[in-house]
Amino acid sequence: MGFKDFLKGYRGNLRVILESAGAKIWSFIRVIRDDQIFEGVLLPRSDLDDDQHINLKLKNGYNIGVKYSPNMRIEVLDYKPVSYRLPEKKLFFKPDKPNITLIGTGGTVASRLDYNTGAVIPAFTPSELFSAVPEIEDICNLTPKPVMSVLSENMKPEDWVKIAKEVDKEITNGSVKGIIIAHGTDTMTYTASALSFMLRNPPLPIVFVGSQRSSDRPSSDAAFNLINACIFAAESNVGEVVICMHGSSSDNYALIHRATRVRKMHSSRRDAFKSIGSIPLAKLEAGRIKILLKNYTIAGAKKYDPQISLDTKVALLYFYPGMDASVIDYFIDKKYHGIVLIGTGLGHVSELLLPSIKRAVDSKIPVLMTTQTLWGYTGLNVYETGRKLLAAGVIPCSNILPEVAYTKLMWVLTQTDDLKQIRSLINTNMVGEILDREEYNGFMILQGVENGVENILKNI
Amino acid sequence: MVKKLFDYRQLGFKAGLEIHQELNLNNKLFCKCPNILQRGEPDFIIKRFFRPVMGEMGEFDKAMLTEYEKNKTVVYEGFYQSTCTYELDETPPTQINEEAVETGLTLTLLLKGTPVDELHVCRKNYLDGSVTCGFQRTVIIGLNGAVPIENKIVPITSISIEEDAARKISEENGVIRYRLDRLGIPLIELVTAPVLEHPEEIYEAAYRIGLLLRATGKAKRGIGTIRQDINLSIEGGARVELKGVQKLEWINRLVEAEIQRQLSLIDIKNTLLERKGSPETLVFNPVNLSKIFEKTKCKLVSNSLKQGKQVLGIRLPYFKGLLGRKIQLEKSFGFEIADKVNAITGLKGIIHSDEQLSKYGFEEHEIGEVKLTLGLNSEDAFALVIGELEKANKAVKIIVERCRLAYTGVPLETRRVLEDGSSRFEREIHGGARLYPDTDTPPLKISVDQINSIQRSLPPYPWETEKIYSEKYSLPIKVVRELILEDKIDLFIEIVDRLSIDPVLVSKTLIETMKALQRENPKFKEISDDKIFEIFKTLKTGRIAKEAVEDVMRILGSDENITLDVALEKLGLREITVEELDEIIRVCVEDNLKLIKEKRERAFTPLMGEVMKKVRGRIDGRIVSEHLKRELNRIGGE
Repeated sequence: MGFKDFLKGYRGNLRVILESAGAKIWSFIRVIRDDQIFEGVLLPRSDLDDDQHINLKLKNGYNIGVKYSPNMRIEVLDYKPVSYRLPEKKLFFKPDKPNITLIGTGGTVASRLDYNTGAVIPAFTPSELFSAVPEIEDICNLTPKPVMSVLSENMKPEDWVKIAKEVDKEITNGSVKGIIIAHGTDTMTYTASALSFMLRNPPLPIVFVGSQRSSDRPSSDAAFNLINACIFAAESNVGEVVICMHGSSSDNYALIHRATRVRKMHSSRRDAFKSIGSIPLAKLEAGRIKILLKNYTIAGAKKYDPQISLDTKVALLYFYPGMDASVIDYFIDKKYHGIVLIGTGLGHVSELLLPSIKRAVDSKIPVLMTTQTLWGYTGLNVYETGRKLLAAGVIPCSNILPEVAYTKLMWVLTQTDDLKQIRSLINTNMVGEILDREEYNGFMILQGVENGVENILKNI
Repeated sequence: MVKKLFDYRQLGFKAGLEIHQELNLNNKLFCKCPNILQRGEPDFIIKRFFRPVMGEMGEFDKAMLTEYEKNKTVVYEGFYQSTCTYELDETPPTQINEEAVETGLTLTLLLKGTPVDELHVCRKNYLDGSVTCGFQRTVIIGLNGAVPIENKIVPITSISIEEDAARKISEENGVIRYRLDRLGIPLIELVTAPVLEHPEEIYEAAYRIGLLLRATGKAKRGIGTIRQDINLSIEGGARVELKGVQKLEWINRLVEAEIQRQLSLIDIKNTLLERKGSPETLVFNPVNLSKIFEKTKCKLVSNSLKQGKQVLGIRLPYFKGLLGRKIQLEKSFGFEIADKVNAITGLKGIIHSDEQLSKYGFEEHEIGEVKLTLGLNSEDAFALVIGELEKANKAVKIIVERCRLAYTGVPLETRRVLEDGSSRFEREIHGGARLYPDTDTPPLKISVDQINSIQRSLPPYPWETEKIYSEKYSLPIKVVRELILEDKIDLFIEIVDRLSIDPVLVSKTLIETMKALQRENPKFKEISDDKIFEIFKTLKTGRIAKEAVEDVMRILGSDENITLDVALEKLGLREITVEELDEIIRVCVEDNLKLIKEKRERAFTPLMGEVMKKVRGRIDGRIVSEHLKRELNRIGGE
């Protein structure tokens, strides 16, 4: 991995003495400072770190930072640029196995490690992928297609449209049995739910997959999740957009979640993805698929209806006590086309926001209401504030999750700009985003807790 | 002291030490879990698998691959109290434990080493499952230290802090169980240069480093809290890492047994070369011999065949007689191969032609047929493995590879030491290549102020303390050292200083009496420091005599649940109640009415003597005196 800057991350005086010694990143150098001597490979330094230390990889493999000193001397002993040979593995097309396309968006499904530098190199050619996760060969013919390289948090709605178009292209080509999208987990549910609206009734499974432990570590969940995503894409008859991730902290089963009912509920656990208010769509254990939600759409049963565009001028606002009404005014003034509010409890915001909300509705900007509690429905008829919000023209979103209401409104706005029709479309269950009834255990089920909620509570 | 078996100089013997010491800090290294080990049933169980990560050339680290090939399921036992989502590899690390860093710096300065200016946490890959994330977080704190021993200065190449691994509980049928309480406990690791040329030097260096670790005041005590690994080699042999030396007194016999092993392996290599063999003659070509044994009388084989297992055979050209050769204590080369097969595949072992095959119940014609089928020549040996086809194939592969390695003499290996002095294969030696930076932790700068402040409060050198104690308590250095090694020095000081009891008596009791009792009863349990202190306190109050100390200890050591009171009662030294005392006094007074009338107040002293004879050590003398006076007054009043 070469760097454009041969002294990446080094600035100021330190850079001057490294330069004058002829040192480059990966040079084996000797640093002499007073009576101390350090020898090791010069490593790149993060631009965010200070300009006072040299990163060295010692012979024993450990890294240290050596502090700059004006009387420091540097000698270059050797230079071995790091070069990477890719593992080659012959691929055989197996006519009896289903074809699956893996669309890459930037996350690393598989990667290799460079012990000399500690760099992580993504594996994305088919041969690289198969040498990292050889199990895939026995499941399907997998063709990776890198579409973009964007960190999940930098993803924009325009990227969702781009991904949807790639998926649509694969579907129309007609030669694949399923599609997998490798995606960073942070905003995976946004992309997945946006695709649910843009690609309704897909004739094959569209499976998002990611990892919570990067693939450069032996305990990574990436291979496990990818293998299960392959099985689901290759073997299930589900015609929906879903997310496939670890079901528990153990490496025992994966869960398939409907893209419009799932949320990342933990910042780092493997089993961070939970279906909210509902149970997951399916469970995968030891290579077997067990469908849990009987009301899924069967691939090909309904007509595939791609409508791939989004109105990106939509805002998603989290209400907090003390929120200034001018926040809403800002979006009206900026000519936004829609606002999704995440209110408290049954769907409330402070009365002080009412005039601005009314102003938005009067300017033909739909204002949607979802709830911060995530579980449960909005209920604007119950209290005075709710009734006032309804009177102001707020559209309650039933129990659509806030992020899903956001992607849905973006899509709905490409269909109509009439407030009445928008209201009606928002309240129509299109791709499983609304649960028409909430079962008792919809709240209780925390998937991934092996012994059940009761056992956990007992032991706390 | 030990019979000189080898001329170490002539052998070209070289050894280095790697010492791991658990630190006694409140929290773990990278999370806020308490630093405790737990007993009883775990609160929850997690199951995981590990995958090797490719190295820079797109290849897998050999040692890691060996682990992966073991294809093991790892089960973790967790406790709510001592395990959080960090140990489960579900949450990134928090800031490194500052006290641990400080301890590392203290040690670096004690060793006159160079503290690292900016700490970079690294990951060291482990695929055996002992660390949930597959790597241990470790950071170098200091470089280029040194520890003086009798006739040389031993360089300490690095001082680092790292996380302890999980505790292995069991391993059966391809499932390894680990307990997570120990995972993440801060450890200090010291590595010496390979300059030690005699087991006594290893001992001395390990002892001195151990003393320094204790001097920081942060070292954990007790069995298993300090672990020594010895890297050693001899001329013509190879570097072998002996892991898990828990007691310094093992060093001698471990080193001797390993040298015996290396010399024997070199002999085997020479024999093979004399026979004009070469590694290329060993071909991975397992032959399925199950048919030959269809009607065998060997129960082991017939039962296995019934379960669908197979018997595979392999010809081992030029190995006749070599498999049966003893290479370490009573263990043969064949045993060493079987042990490696067991460590990797979990199969019980192998059967080979240098064994007495009739003891398995094989008949001559069966063996004849095996030899014929395998095409054995006069200098050849064969090995059989029994197991499911896949496992058996893997076992044959291991046998072939190990026999090929016999041509190089001693393979580079990490071996786990056993108490008898021998060792067993654990894994290939890890390359230094398995370290890479931890992306979850930022670099940590060490300021000059911090170094100066630690420098100002450095503890004195323990070998100097050794001298000081020896003078202060008038004990030979040897005795002080033994107290230190047995981890009894603090207790010793407490007893002697606080109770002012003769240091010789205390040191003898703590060392000699303890050892005698342990010899007498192999199941003798460790007696806690608190209990021992109480025994001496009882001695001080006069409740027991010097001679009774050993008896009390014998009882306490027989069962850890016995309290001191119970032990004393068993010896008839039960404490008596005030009521019982009053009764004894009453009887005594009644018997001596005449004396009391004669001597009046002066009768107190002889009576006190008489009562004390009956109650000595069972109740405080002051109470006796008080109650006796009261009784005498009462009588006087009448």
